[in-house]
Amino acid sequence: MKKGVLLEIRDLHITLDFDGDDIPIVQGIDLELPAGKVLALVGESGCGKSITSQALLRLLPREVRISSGEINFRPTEDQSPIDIAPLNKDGKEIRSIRGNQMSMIFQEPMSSFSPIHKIGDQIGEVIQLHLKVTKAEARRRVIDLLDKVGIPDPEQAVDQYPHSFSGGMRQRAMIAKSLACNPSILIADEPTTALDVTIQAQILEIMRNLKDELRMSMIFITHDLGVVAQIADEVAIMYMGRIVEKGPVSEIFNNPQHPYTVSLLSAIPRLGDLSDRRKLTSIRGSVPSLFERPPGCAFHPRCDSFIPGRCDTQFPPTSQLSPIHEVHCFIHENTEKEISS
Amino acid sequence: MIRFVFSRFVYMVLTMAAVSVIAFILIQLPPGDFADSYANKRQQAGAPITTEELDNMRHQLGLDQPWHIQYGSWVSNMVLRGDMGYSWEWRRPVADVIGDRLPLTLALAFSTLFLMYLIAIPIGIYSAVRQYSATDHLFSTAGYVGLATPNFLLALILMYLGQKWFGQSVGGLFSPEYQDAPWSWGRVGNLIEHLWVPVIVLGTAGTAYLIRTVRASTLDELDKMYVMAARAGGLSPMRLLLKYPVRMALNPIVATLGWRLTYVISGAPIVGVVMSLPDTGPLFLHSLLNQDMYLAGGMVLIYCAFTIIGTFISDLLLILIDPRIRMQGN
Repeated sequence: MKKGVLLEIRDLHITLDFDGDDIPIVQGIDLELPAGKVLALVGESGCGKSITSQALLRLLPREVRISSGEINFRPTEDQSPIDIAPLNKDGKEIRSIRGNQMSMIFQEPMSSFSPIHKIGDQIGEVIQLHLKVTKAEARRRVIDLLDKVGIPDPEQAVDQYPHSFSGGMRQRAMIAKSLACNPSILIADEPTTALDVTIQAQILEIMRNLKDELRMSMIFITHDLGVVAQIADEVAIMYMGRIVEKGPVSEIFNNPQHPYTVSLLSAIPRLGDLSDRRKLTSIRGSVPSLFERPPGCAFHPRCDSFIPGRCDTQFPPTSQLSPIHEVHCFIHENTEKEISS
Repeated sequence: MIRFVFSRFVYMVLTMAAVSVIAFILIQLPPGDFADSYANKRQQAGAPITTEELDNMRHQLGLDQPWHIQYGSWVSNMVLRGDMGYSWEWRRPVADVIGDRLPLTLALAFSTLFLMYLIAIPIGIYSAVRQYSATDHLFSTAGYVGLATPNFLLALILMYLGQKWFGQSVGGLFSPEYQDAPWSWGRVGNLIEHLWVPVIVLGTAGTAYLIRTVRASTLDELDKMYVMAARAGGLSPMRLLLKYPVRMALNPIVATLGWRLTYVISGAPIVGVVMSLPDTGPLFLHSLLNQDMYLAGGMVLIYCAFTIIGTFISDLLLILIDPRIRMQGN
């Protein structure tokens, strides 16, 4: 494992068991999460980004499984990494990582808490599970956490039930729960998608501050490039279970090289543009279903740079445009050679 | 919360009042009255009754009064003096006739309910967690067969098998030597020995149905986001299952407790008649056939009271287990 990296995904394949057939959902992705950085995983619904994030904690639904690949994780740089992929999915090892060294925030704050248990008890549960503390100490810590994520009157909130919290408050509480044991990695699966824009900004702000304060690394799943620009350091663009382009945020935003990335970026509406151009730009066609995956590069039916006989027969190999910028596209096949020669 | 309980209580009383009117109308609906059916019997016995005697009898029993006056005196006697009227057939007060047999009906109903929940809840949860496994399919098949078998048929089959294999009559609730004996531990033991057959008969379909309900409501909860969120906290599978999805899946089960009780009690008459049980089932049937008005009315009222009280109890339980319902009252 490279220096400074806490989590490394190697050639990860995930399949869906559909009546005995194995349908590939994620096809060989490679990712690295450096300590203290935020890695954004971006793509349309169904591209496999949420499934990838769930695989990291082995939270996949019953019919979905990791078919091959490695997920190497170490809580700190001095520790030796363990491979999460072959662990028993409800065994002791993975359970001691969940909520403790690696924790997760979900998309739907309204349904991420059990409606019949007190907020404080649901957060305290994680603390008592992983840390050797008394009930009273756990409660004290819950109140501190609630205060930290900006919930007013935490002394009272700790004894409330989720239904007396708004969506934004619940997401704050969810963040508090995920931070309960000072994890080294926080996985956030579209944490702001279900919230309205002003609340979204507040939540992002809290996450950014806490990330720095607690020196965490973060994997941030989203389909919103605006959010990526606000919070991420690195970004990986996914399309139908594959990473098509990855690099630092500024590089990807200023110098996108994959046709899919280019179209995604041009589909962002900009204030002012709307007056002269009535219609929003959109990407031609729609994402095919998992059962009708186009051969070769799955994006080719929607791509303007489609090369017949090439793109529809084989998935493009990695083109290392620069030490930090990687793309999978045949239009860049020779660029790499120019660099290396 | 106290207000919530109080309002539920008021509803319960109002429902009871409405039900008493309906019960009274229902037993008045069939053509003829007790005097007619009495006259019929005399006719068949070869000693016909004169029209004058018949009118006299009607007058004595108050059957010549308009129905609302009859209803009024029935209800006021019941509420003010606990007097449920007189059974002409048995020539005893209705309260005594029912009182003799009600404890057995209750013993049967509650042991059936208890066993139903005891069996159905674990099986339902297991079937949900291991959905589509061989065991799940086995339980589902057994459940459908259980649901589809009419309970009188099941009663006949069990009685036949009991006779054939054990050489023992499984009808009734007591062996002959305990039939009219005073209550003693021996008699209780004897009752338990006999009780299992009607319990199986009454409980099979209900258990099968309950397994489906528990399985479905647990399955609903298993896929909820909060389950994954709790799993992501590091909880062990068993603790997770019992603390979150199962707790939530209890709601619909508790909420239907009220009519589950009625279901068991209203299934009892047929089984009671087939298996000649000394409980209220056969009593109810005969009171209807003989137009023994106050006895029939009293029975209908008691069956309804069970439903209403059952619903009230399940409301109270829901308040205990679900904070969202608790808060609603405030």
